[in-house]
Amino acid sequence: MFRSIETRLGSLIMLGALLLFLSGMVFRLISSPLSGGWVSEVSIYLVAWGLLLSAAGCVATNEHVRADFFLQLMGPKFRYIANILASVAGLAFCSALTWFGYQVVEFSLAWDERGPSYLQIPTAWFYAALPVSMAACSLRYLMELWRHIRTKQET
Amino acid sequence: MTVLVIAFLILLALLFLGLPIFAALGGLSMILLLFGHTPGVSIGQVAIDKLNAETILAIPFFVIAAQFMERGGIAKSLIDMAEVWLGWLRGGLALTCVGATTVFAAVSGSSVATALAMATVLVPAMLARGYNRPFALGVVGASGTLGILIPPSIILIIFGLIAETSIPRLFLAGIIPGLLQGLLFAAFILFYATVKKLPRPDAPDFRQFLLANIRAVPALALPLVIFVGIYGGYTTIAEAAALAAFLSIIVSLLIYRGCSLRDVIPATGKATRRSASIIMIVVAALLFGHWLTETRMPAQLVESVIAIDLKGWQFLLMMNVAMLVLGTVLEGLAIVLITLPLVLPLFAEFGIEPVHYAIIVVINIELAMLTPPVGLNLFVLSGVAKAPVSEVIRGILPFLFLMLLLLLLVTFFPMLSLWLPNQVFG
Repeated sequence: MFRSIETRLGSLIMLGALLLFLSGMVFRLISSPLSGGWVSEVSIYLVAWGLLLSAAGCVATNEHVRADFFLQLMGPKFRYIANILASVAGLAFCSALTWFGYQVVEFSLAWDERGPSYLQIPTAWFYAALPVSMAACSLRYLMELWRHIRTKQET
Repeated sequence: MTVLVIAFLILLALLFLGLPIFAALGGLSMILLLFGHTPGVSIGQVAIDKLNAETILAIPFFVIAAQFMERGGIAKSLIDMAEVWLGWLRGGLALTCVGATTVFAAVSGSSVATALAMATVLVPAMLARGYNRPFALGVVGASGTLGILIPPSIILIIFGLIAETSIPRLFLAGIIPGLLQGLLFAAFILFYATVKKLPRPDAPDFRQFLLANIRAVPALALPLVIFVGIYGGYTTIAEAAALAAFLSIIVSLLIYRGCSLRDVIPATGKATRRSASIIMIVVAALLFGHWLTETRMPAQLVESVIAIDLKGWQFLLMMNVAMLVLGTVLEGLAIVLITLPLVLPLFAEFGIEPVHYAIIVVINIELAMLTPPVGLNLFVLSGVAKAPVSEVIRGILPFLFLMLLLLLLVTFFPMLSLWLPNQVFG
């Protein structure tokens, strides 16, 4: 069922976020001292991590939305080149976002930015979801690119 | 403006080459931003900052709810209930489909999930009762699109995030057009059933009627919780989505037993991947929107529009044609995310309410899901019923005309979408 570790991680993080967020709602409704902005803040961080990690899972399972209708009309050689191009484009975009995401994290750490709740969580923890997940996506695209090239060699 | 036209043509070429939409749109936007000397750190910031909002939680949570509703027996109970109410009429199973879909759509924000859930149960049942296969597929495919018009709707949440429009207002705006769409479909089904003399089964006895309704109570409680939560002021949109997801899991596990505890993590994983593929396109669209703003492109567009003296209705008609054409070759969400940042500043110029435009956009996306060659619902149905896509298209055609009629009505009569939110929110 799980074709990638990213999906499993993403799923567990998402379920954790769901339960935490619901608890926050209950805390608020019963006016518990545990209620407050921290629940929402941590849930948002978890969901961002879960979603972005699963984006790498989507690469592994070829679930990223693409308009491949015209591609189906083309010959195998054209499709082969287009698939390589798609992997290269994915790799380039995700690698660039890994680098830019890393810069955002570095910037946030340098300014010691912190979240609004009393937990004072460093926002770098949230921003780190971008470079980490985009690095995972890049790796997946690299594997896909290798698979395309190897398939051609075998045929 | 020339840069924009060239960028748009390159984007279309990249998309037709089969590049993932997020990589094509995001990559192109990134290159344009870097050429405009935007620092990399700003690009990274734009890509992630919008995810730091509570509303974003609603997207994965509603997708999780849809995922469990699709496989957890909730759809079956709603179908059984709709059948005891409508199934004894001529064409009753087709009417059941429209009725059950309307209620199902009030929890599921996804068109594909709605079509899939209905198709697995209703298509075999309709075929067994002698319905013609293209008609059966057409009913399910077209009704499935109600999933994104009747609130909650994932598309409307994304629209609200990008256009910074109130999501509860957007949700209310979808109700009347959604019900109108359901009524148009029901009227056509009744007409078709009478002409084709479709079978008219016996009415259920009182015991069957009662049992089906009682069994559907937990499923009916889901939309009730969402609406009372949001409009009663008890929950935010994200909290309502979390409740919907949690209750869908519980109801599927403990009441309908459509899935086991072992299915929870894989099903959540699938829903998270679905959401991630949406979010990546949103991230790319944010970069595109940022480039448009940095280059003052929307302002230039407003000036051009003033120069050619375009009227509001002409603009809406033009956008409808553009979205219909793009919808035949592109995925619906991509069309919204590519065009929205560009047209957003024009609303004030034309006196168009963003809420009104949002509903027009959703109906266009519904049409995009049903129009070949890339209509997603066509392929979902073709896969479920093991029928050729051409047969699905043949069945959907009359419903497409009805939806075009709905699109024209909603475009030229803004009150259809604005009346309810104006009544509630003023």
